[in-house]
Amino acid sequence: MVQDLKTYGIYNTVTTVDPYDCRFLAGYPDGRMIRGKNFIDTGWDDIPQGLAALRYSLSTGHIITILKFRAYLPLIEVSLGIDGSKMFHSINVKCLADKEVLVYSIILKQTPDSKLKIGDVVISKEGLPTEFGKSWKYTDRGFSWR
Amino acid sequence: MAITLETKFYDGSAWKNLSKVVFTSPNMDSPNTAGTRSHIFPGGGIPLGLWYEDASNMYRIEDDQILTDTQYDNDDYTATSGTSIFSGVRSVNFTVTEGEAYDCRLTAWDDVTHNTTSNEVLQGDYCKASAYCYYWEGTTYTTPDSITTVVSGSYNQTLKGDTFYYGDFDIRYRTGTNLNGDVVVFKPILYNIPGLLSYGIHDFVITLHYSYT
Repeated sequence: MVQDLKTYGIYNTVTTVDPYDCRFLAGYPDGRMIRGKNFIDTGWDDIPQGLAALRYSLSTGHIITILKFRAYLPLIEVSLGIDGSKMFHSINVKCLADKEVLVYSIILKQTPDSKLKIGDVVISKEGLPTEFGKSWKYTDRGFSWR
Repeated sequence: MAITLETKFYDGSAWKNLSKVVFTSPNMDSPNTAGTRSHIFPGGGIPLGLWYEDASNMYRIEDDQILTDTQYDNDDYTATSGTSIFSGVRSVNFTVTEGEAYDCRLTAWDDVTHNTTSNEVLQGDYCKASAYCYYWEGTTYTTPDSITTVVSGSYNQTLKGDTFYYGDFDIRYRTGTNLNGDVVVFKPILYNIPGLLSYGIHDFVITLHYSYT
């Protein structure tokens, strides 16, 4: 008996940002602006403390401005398939407030049936971390003596 | 800090760059040309084999889909009765070669999106893996001087999106003389596939999900 060979699971398509053309833009009180490299090697750990503003520029043209908090910790969420495929899901910017951490999740991919599109921002809340690593970058209102 | 990961497997004598994991009948020579698939249907007495494929060849890793023993061994090819030794040699290896990553999770998704599980294989909980995260000291992968656990092993763990997975954990590059890792090793298993599974090709992907700065 001859049967049609069906292939399951490959009909959905995904659109994602170009990670080589996405970056953060960190502003400082003296007017300096430091541009991140890209989303593969962001350069975030190398920038100085004391930010005055934080924005994200996506390859799609979206510019997302993060409100000013006491400190930021951006985490890029990706998945690496054993077939070598790599998917950039979101960048989750943890923002330190007085008594909590707000997480700005900037969406980096979309499918035809996904409710969230590239550039959308989802805000969630989590508790204060127990420790602050060097990747936390404080703003100019984040220091305790102010 | 960004992270660099290598995805490889060890064929018993040399490292190979993994391009695909293939489940097809084991009735072919190994190694065989990449892209070759058995024309004998698995089931009905023909087992389903596990093959790892690089750009040129495919290598038969297992002749059947059997659960792994609940222990980790880095240099043991001997299968015990009814189980298969879970060894690094027969596993896929994610090796950190630079940087660090957080909230790592080994799981399975359908198709290209890496975020849906509307797939018969995944919905039926047939996709499993045994996994272990560690770093090792020494110069030879198969005979390390010591192994240090980063995350305890998980054996025959069902992988299905955010429902069933191996994780969450952090991994980082280990600096020091003869230190290697971290390494996430796992062996995929398709277990208990029923005869009523729809005829055809079921694509899904096992991924290491992680975050970095």
